[in-house]
Amino acid sequence: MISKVNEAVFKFVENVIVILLFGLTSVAFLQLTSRYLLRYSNAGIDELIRLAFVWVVATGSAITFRKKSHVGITFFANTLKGKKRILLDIIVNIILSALMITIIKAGIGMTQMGATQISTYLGISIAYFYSCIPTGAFLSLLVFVEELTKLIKQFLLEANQEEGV
Amino acid sequence: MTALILLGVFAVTLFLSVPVAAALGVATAVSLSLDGIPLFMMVQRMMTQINTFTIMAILFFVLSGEIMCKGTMTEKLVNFSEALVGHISGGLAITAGVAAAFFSALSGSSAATCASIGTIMIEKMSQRGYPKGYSSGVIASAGITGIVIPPSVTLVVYGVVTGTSVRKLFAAGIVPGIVMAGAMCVLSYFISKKKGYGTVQKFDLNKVWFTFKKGIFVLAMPIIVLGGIYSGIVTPNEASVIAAVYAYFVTKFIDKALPWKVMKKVLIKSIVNTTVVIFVIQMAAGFSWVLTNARIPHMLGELSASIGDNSIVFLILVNILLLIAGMLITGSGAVSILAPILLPVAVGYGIDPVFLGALMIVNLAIGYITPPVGVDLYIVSSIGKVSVESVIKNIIPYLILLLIILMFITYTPAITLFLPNMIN
Repeated sequence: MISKVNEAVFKFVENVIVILLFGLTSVAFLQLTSRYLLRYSNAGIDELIRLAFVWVVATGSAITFRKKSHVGITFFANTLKGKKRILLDIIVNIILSALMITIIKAGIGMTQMGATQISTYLGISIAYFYSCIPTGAFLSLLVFVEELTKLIKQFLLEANQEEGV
Repeated sequence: MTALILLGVFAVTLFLSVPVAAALGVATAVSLSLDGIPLFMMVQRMMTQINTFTIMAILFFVLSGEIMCKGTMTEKLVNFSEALVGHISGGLAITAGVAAAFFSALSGSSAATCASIGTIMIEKMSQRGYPKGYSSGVIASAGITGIVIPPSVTLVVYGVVTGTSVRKLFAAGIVPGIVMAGAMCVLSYFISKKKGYGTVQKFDLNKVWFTFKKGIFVLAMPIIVLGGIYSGIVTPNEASVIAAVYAYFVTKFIDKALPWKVMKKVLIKSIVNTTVVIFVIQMAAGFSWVLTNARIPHMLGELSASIGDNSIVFLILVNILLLIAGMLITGSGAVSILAPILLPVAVGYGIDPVFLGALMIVNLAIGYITPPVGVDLYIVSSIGKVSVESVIKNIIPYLILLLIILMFITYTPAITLFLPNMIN
């Protein structure tokens, strides 16, 4: 169930983020061209570029977790096999989930604080900027919950097989 | 006590194979909670780190590197380099060095340089009589200039976390990068000549002109990017946007090698490779805040002063620490964690922050090929389909040479600072 939900959610997120990055690069280039050729620069557009960037990075981090691309040191993990390795992976995913819950909680607090402030040039709520952090952490949490579900099933299967033997 | 808890939790989570960025986050969250400091401080630091223009350069330089890998830009670069130096003994080994130095001036990453140049060169060198272990060793050592010669993602990271001018940092990478690349080419000449590797081609001026014309768009890129930065026309951040758009237009409209499906994959890969770097920077911001709050840089300064009261002792300690760090974690990760701690101590010794940045990057670059765990050793071993042991055996002379250059750079800061000091 969670796998299907994540499949749909991340397909959507990937499409949005690709459009955001393509748009962000194009707008940044146009802003640059306009600044040097037309001597015209709009500070609001700079702020918009920053807004798109923070969202690309925050949600992109969840995609990176899903692709298991965040770098870590795996010497110890590689020495473990079977049930022990699965157990370690469960512990790691619990630690990661706890971290994401912490970030979501603190991030929501920050977003609520930001709701009372207005951005300098666009005149929009700062909450639009801050909310990328809890959103990114929530997407990462979805990844870890999916991973945990798979690992627990795998662990139980291995345990049952051992009992059968 | 706080620092001990922070470092202890970081070490344990890292050992358990929690990703580096998350291990930094967990350690920070635990320390802050125990000290009764509100956790939103950590989130605030995460946000502050990404809400700047300088950090965007990482995304755009990574994007331009990814786009270039999809077209024929690397191949054109290799063909031109070969026409230029293929007539010398060890011509293809030198070609690899020259092409890697050029590619470094286009991309900001050592892994991307190794992968792009390695994919073409290892096979080519093998066909011309170079043992695969040697070719792979040459590519790995040449590839490390990727993070030294500007534009360098790792130098941008240093600029972001320490607030140092990225323009000056890029200038500081030029001389050490060229010295490293040049010295490795000379070593390749002697090794190839002594061991009789490869066949020498006749020098053909027409071929040089032909490959130059073919590769004009790729060869123009460093001039546009670095020329734009140092003529003062654009900032490093703006140059990164130009690099990405330029690479896109050349690959899409001249190479005709970038259909939307491929472009989508390139964009996703760029986001993934960028967030690998940026997530570490975000998490390291809170981590170094806790360390600074616990006066660790101050204690480190006192410790270093107790060993020896001059900057050279401190720089040697930095060299050792960074060579080890470069073996274990990515350059950007090591810079994000260590630069905020080392910089205040370095400034206390009168060391220029720009020099420290360049020195850190050269150290970490060498760490990438330091056995047994340097990451580039494994990248080229996988591309060349040779054992890591064979790569390590062949890389030793290059590693010794690079360590000598490192000592030279450490003791003569004027060489590194000559160009940055010319910039106002």
